[in-house]
Amino acid sequence: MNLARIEPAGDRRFRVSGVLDYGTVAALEARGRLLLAATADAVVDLSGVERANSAGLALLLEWLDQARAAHRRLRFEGVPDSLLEIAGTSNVAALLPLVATGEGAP
Amino acid sequence: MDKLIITGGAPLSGDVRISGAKNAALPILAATLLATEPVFIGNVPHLQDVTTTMELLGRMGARLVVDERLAVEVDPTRISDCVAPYDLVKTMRASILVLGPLLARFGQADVSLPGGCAIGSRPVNLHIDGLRRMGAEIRVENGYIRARSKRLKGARLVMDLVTVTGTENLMMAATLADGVTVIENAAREPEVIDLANCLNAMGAKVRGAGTDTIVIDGVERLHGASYKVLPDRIETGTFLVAAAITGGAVRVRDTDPGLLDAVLDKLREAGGDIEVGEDWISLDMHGRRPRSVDVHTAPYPAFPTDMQAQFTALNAVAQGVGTITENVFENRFMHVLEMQRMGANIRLEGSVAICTGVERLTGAPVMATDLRASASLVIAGLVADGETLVDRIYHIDRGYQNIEEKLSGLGAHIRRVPG
Repeated sequence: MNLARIEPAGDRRFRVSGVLDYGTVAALEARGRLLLAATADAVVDLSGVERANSAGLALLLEWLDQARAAHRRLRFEGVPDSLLEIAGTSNVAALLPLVATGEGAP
Repeated sequence: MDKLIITGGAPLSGDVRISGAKNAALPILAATLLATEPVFIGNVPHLQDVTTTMELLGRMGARLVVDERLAVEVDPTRISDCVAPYDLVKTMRASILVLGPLLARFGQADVSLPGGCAIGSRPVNLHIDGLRRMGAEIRVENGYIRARSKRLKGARLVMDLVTVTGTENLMMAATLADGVTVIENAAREPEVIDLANCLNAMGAKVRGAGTDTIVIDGVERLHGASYKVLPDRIETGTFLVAAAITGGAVRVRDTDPGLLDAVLDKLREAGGDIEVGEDWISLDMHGRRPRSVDVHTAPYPAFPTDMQAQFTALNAVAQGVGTITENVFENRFMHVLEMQRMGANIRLEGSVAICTGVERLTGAPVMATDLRASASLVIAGLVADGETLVDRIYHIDRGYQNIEEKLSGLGAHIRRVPG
């Protein structure tokens, strides 16, 4: 069975690692919702993601939706190229707020 | 709306990978509706029409997953809404392809009529007539095809016209029908064969695909499968024409040379030095200007109508006089008017374009009117002096995956600018 986790990684930063697929994203969404709810301007680092399919993309969009509803800012960094490609194919790439290269985060 | 800006003059050279065929991927995605288990589809091109089809299936209740290699898994076990609504169908005529699968698998389908088309009429009455002959009750009302049926029954279907989507729709419907269905005067295109192969991988019993008589023994159910979409022969041909027109040397890979004999013959006639391998084709013009060729479009295996506009561009700058005769669609010479604005010497006489090649075209703002016309204008821009700005490129995005990236990789000076 694949595993995925989200952990605090310093000042308003969170690190996601493992495999993002149908088997893992439901539990990850619940854990992420709890962690991210308490952070006004969070950055989620996805550089530890080993593999992700479109379920992983759905997870990011869900966290974004929750952040917007709560008037919180949420950005992503280290998004795997494969996930960006899936986002492009799905016409939602523009919805993903990414930390710009060289930008200090948060 | 995005635009493409091309600065002509650079001969193309290098390798380019060919994507999966949109015209195979779309019916195969529709065919997943027939299964009772998930279906995995590889080599799916990343195109707007594919995204639209996935949205269509998703709205019906299918669960879709795109993996990291962009293969698509469709789980059709929770379909709850057998409707193809107008807001999606109007953007993609191929939505009609869900009619047969929905009716065969779920006994009902409400599919919006697709409406008009820029390149001529493509009526869906052959789809409807065929399904009626298989026992379906179909009403056309409020802009929708409303079809109902208990299990469809096998029938002998003689197509008045050769229609690819009609053949595909009826072939898919027949896989779950009670008894044997025979489709006569069927389309023979490779994409029809690819769909039949996919259906057979799902447990269907389809014979004769690729001939004009297809025989389908109906089965009780179709199971899941993994299937890889065949390469896009029109994208293959488009890049080869682009190489020929620029006097370049290009190798297209991950393709199937056996799918485009008629096109390769014409490219040889135009002066191309062509070699083929198992999954690649190379064309080398050795820096020469192409010679004019005469082209007559007709259903596969003859010269494809979807390559006509690209060869019009080739003839526009070739040595001599060449004719392009369009026998498949009416009103499919809109690109000629735009090429004339670039200095091409082309005369239209009914369904024939008579091209007297000129040494050079000149860059101009031009407007794409359909998918292949768009490609032909990009190709013309590759040999035009100065800048050619191609507007309305949403057409080209419907059929060519990352065309500007692929052409840039071959040395073309092309860039996309946001509208």
